[in-house]
Amino acid sequence: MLFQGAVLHASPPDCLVLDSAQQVLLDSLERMFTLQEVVVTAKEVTNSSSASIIGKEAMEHLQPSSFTDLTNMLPGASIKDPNLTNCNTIHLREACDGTSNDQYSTSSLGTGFVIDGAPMSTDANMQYIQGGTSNQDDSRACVNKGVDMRTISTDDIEKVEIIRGVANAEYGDITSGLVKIERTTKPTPWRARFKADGFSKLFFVGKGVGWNEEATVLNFALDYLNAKADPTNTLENYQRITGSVRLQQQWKAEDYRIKWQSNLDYTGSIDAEKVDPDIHYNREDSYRSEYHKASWSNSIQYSNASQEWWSASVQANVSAERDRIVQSRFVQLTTPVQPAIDNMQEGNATVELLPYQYVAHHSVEGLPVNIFVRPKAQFYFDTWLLKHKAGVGVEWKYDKNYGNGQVYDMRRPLNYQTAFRPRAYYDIPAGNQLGWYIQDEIQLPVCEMLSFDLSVGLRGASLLGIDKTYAMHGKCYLDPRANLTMNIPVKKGHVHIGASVGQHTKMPTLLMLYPNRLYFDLKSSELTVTQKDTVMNIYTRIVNPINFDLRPARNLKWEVRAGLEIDKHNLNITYFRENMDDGFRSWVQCEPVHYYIVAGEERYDYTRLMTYSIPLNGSSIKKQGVEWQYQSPRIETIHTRFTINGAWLRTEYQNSVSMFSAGNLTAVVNGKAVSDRYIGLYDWNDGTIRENVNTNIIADVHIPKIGLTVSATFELCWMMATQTMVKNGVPTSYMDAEDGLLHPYTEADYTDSMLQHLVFTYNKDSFRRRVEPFAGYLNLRVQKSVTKYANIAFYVNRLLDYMPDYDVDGVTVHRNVSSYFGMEINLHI
Amino acid sequence: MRNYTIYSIVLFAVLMLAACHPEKNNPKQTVKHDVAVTILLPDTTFSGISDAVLTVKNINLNTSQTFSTANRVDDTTLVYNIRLEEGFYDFTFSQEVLLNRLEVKLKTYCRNVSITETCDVPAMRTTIVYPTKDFVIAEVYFSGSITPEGKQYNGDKYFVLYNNSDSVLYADGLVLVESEYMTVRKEDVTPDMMDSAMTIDAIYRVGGNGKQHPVAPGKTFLIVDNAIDHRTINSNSFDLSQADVEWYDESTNAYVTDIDNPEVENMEKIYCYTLTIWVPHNQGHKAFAIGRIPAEQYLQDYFFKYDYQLVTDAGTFDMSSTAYLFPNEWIIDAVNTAPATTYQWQVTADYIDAGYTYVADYGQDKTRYGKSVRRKQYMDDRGVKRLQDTNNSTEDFLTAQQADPYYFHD
Repeated sequence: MLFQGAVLHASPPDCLVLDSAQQVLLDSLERMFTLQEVVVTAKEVTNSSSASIIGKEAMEHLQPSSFTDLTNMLPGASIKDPNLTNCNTIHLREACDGTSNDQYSTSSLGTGFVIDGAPMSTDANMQYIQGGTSNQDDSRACVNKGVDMRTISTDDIEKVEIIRGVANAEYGDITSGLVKIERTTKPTPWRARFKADGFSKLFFVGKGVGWNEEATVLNFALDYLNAKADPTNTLENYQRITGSVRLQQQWKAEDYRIKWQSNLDYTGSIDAEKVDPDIHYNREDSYRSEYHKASWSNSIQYSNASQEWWSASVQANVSAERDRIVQSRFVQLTTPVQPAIDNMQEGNATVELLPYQYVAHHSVEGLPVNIFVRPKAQFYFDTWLLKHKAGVGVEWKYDKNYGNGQVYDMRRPLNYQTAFRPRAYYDIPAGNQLGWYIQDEIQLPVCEMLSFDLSVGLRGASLLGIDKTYAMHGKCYLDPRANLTMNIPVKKGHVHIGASVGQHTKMPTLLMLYPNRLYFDLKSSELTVTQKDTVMNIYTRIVNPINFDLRPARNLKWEVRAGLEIDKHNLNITYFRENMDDGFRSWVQCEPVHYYIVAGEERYDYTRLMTYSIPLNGSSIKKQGVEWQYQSPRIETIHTRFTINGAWLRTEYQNSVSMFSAGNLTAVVNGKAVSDRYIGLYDWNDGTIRENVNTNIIADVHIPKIGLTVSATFELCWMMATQTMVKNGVPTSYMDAEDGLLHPYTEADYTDSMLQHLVFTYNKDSFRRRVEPFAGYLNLRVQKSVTKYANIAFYVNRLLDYMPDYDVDGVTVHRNVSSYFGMEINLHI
Repeated sequence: MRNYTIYSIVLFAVLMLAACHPEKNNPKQTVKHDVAVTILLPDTTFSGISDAVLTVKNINLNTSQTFSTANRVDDTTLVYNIRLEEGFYDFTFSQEVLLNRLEVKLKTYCRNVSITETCDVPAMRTTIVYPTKDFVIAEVYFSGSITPEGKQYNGDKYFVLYNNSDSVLYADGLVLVESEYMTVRKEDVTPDMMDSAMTIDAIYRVGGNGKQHPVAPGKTFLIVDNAIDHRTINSNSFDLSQADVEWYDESTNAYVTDIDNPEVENMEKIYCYTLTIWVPHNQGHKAFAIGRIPAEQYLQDYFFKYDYQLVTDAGTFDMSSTAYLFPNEWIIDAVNTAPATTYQWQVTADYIDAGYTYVADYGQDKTRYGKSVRRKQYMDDRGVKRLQDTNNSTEDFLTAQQADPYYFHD
């Protein structure tokens, strides 16, 4: 019964070879037999690349609202309060919790989430309001940023493995790391949870039932979360409903075993913001973003029981979302005249003027469909002294958005000052990705005193069905990956030293491959619009900003590890480096445009520069750091275990190509905009360096007799530093609209009344490193079983804090934080 | 009758004021007294251009005499020791001085002082009288209005200039500038040019050949963003279609479309920091000035790069920026504006403007909409309506006035 779900392979007959899922079962068995050893922190894995394992007890003790809270347990992470009214993306190994700069979101985009073997794909996510013109949507949109962790409920999760290092070659379309989530697949009593904190309420109910000696197991769960941005404001909130039904069926015969797992999931979330109807103004304003995702995943695993040298499985899942953003806004012009541009064609057009006030309605309708199929096989064999577990697999990933896209009346736009046009998402071609991998996990027991674990793998990925004009057409991107661990048994334990290196590749999303067309609506500078006019003449230039040279983002990671496990003392230290030079970026392209405006008999000709963004592999993200964790055995006399973990993290975000910059060039000289005529090309570093060092000391007390678990986390943030990279504001050259050519920027240009504005001045002190010194907090979590069926729990983040004032250039900075607390009750019936 | 009056007064003075020292006790002879006339000078540094002249007028005899020799007791006290016959006198003091590089007059007077044996002339405190030779900024409406539906409306901002002189002035060539620095954020600027020039981020010029925009004494010159009847768009706004000039921002971007009134002349846009339509800072964090540019290559020669320290809650940041300089001697009038509680510093030289004025208590103050700052009026000694201009906006302006572009119209 205890081995339910585990498929054991004896090869040679006296040795068990387990895959990771099976390892967990053995882990949990071990836990049961070692005096109910409870681990309330993340555990570091020791036999492969650096990863943290978060078990059910740790999650129950943490009392999370969403998956985001679990990332607080990673080395180097600080405890953050739930922020459920904004998109939550993951920032693995990024210093100071990462950057919010979208130019560097490849890190979160390239972190894969795999739930019960089924990867979550966000490549067809296009839910955002065009133009960055909606304050409500800007912080909630997650396009090209990866998975929004708010949508993942934690209550039905059995175990999470967050691979920060080099992932197994089986996992692709990632750059930064992998989150493997395994949900409960076993009979359980009725479980219910009710959590409340100052900003949210969460309800959960779930059960697992088994029949036929648990050859058939059915689990189901339901979860509801309601969160507010501000507890006193009921008009801005986030709601999430998740429902899950999972069936596991096993057939066992003499010579084979078949396991079929079928999961049916629904996740719905609604972000909403309204205006208080009691307020006189702006009653029409509202924002609502709905996300409804249904997914069905299946895996069938066949193992040959008599031969016991191979097994095969097929994972297949399909998911469909119905996403909808609806925003309404009462708009009044702040200046007397604005055009209502609805011209979809290139060339001259006469457009109406906007009325002085109107109500704008904008909706974004997305219907992403993702399909994933992966057949794979594993082989177990020996060569010489080596024990092999070889795997081979091939996968197909399909992403398509069937939605209507951006739907609105162009003559009544949400924001009348930006040039956008509606776009139907169903016109965007589907993304087809073919991947394959081959890998071998080798055990080499050299002698009793030394053994090696080596895992080598090669992964390939290609985009299928992409036009020949793309550089990626027909290309296969290879990711070689290797992990080596040397184990040296010592008295009561072992010492291990390891190293990993691996290439990781993330393919561009659909919006990067097929970006929205850009519209430049130009007009005459001479012809004026008066109060009597009802129309104006414009010229529309359309640019299709497809970058046919776009490549996947590739991250080369390596790390060295050392650790020991002696008498239940556990110590792990990892030094890592990650280098990605071709992260995705919106890069500014510059070119002249010649156009004319016709008014009656007159024709006015113009030449000016225009800039637009294209997707480019132009962002560099370099990560390095040291992660450490020490875990003591539970000291029986005081029922206490000590865990000390922390990290030094340093992340460099930088552009990896020269940049045109017109953003700061707003000067208008003698009535002419400088940027219409000249734009500079700067060979500069538009980057920042972030660095932090922290240590968490966690003392957890577990007294089974009275059912009490208490943990105190001393969070010590030794320092946080940020530094803007030195920028040279003098352009190397500039483009002149007259000839469309680049001209070197010379001494004489410093005194030209227009060209002198191309020099952006930066004070060298702006590039100083700014350090925030020590800050310390005490976080407390308590769980207590009150009856056989119930336990209650509460937590306080930053119960105490120590944040000394510090001086920056003679200015004293006072810091303060507020506590955050929540409580919950769990029932097991 | 007249002699009787004189004698009566003299007799009254003799009887009542014993402090004066008669030279002779013979009532039939003219009695003279030693009189000390104390002049209190302003507590500021200045240098004299002309002599300090005390004019003493005998009211009875309608004769005047002037005195220019005085004892300087200390920096702020001047004493004239003079001998006067008994009688009624008007004392008038005047001196032309250079105060903060500006030619001004120190003036004071005391009327109907009777000089008798016991008389003492009260100490006279001088006031600084600034010349009224040119335009002054009469009203600035920078906050914009709010629509009946509660939205901000920016298109109706205006400046009223006023001819505060006695002769016809021409607005041709007059420039309107906005300061680069904000009055609510003190910046330690290097190099510090404040003493010699105002650092500006927008400059618009009234066109004309020098005689096209005459403004009679006591008349106004209205500069607006958009010379249209704004009431058709926003009933809380005004009709600005009768403005003298408007600033018009050309653009090739269809989304930056300024409205034009062909009937009203557009100002020349010499420089502006923004690609969009210039609107004066709507919380009033800037200073505004009017002046004239004598230079030919202004844009080349007055480009200004500077460093400053940005002090924020998160620390102090060293920054650099660029703007243009507008020399102080070109400035005709300037006014610093800042919300009352968030003012930090003057962004013009003190001698250009020593104070600030406001429409709001704090930056986001929603009561600021529809309010302007307006210069105080007074009648001068000739009964002419003047606007007060002591180069101190705190003193000279009325705060948070209901905006009215035609307030100074007769």
